[in-house]
Amino acid sequence: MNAPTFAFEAIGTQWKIDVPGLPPEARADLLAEIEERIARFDRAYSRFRDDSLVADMARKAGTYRLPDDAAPMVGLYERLYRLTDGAVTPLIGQALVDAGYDAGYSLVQKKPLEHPPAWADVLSFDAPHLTLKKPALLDFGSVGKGYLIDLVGEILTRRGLKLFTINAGGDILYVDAHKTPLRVGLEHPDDAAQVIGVATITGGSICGSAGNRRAWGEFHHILDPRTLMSPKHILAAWAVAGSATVADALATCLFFVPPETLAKEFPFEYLIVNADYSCQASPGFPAEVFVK
Amino acid sequence: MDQTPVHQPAPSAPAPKKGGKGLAYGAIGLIALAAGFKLLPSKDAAPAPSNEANAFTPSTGTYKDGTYESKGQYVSPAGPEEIDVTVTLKDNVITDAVVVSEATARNSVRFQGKFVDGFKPFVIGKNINEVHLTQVSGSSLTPKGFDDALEKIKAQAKV
Repeated sequence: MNAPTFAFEAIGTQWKIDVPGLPPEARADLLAEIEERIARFDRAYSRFRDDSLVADMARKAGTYRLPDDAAPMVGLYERLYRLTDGAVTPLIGQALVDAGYDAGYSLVQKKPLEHPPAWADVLSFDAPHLTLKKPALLDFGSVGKGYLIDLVGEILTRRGLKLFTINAGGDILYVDAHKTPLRVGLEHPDDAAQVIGVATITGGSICGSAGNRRAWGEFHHILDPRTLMSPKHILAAWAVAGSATVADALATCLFFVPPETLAKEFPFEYLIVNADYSCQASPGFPAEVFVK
Repeated sequence: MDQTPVHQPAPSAPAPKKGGKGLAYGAIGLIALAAGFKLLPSKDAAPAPSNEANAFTPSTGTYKDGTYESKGQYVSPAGPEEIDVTVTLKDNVITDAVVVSEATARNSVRFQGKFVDGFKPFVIGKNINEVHLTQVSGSSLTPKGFDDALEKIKAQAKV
């Protein structure tokens, strides 16, 4: 059976979208719509280009009219900021850049890192307007990819597709009206040719976060604003939730706070692999984990 | 013959067993020590060491080292379920546990117990080719630019 797949690179990662049942004549049109939606998102929120809204906000204080899709994302960041006592913050952008994770991937720490300001000190959001009291480089990396995955999912759903899988750099959204189980390997943090388990989902999202790949010197892509170091006590974390927005966000949050803290406000399942390779999972984490 | 003096070793971290087994977190009612499961020595049970001819069998909770398996039945909201539990005990500590549940493939199960305290699972890897998968979740797919940059840095770092 011919199963159409779209494969392309966007927002700095590889996307693979399986859309079985899509008529061939609808392919080009749908792909164009998806790529346009992603490009529009990137143009607003990417800190890796100097023509984005985020780049503007890093240069000049003021009030900015964000696109209509900003409200759910900024709103989620407000909740995560509160739940993690500020550990997860969009204001981490400058510290990431100073550590080397800049638009040009210099991967060299250029200067001593500074603690990001507190949210209330510089940022206020009254949808759709975001006001910055001073210029700040915002990083939406903890939530943005998952959110964009959901937005693309909405395009597919609006087109009447009832079965599809979106995999953007290992973060997955699965929709199937028949709830056929999808087997998802959980990549070994040290070896991409291995998996430490297999999750089975019948819908929703599984997202993973790990410090192994985007790593340089002492850092990886997750930076703790409190210590100005990258957390090393956890090697990898996965979250399963109804949406990629939430799963992606919580997979990052698990590096900073215990899962019980997040469970107060979000229904989700998780697996955490610690630095010593011990693991812990929520009782309902839908996976067989290979252990000794 | 003198009975081997009973020595209860202090609970310690169990020695990890070689050769991974699966922990199916999605299964219900884990652990054979929960009420309702009878432990029956499996065919592969490790034989008792020969100098413990009179192995101590107290009236409560101390088990001979060995591998035990049991089938359990329970009724879930989705209907009757059966699970197969195999545990390995050493010094009264579970050092390995395998639970196989028909319901693992379905998303309706909830795990209603906790592992016995002291059993700490460590993950091991299996080759992707050995495991039937549709997708992989992880962080393997980094931006091309990032990997290129890393290579450059490494090259520069060589003095």
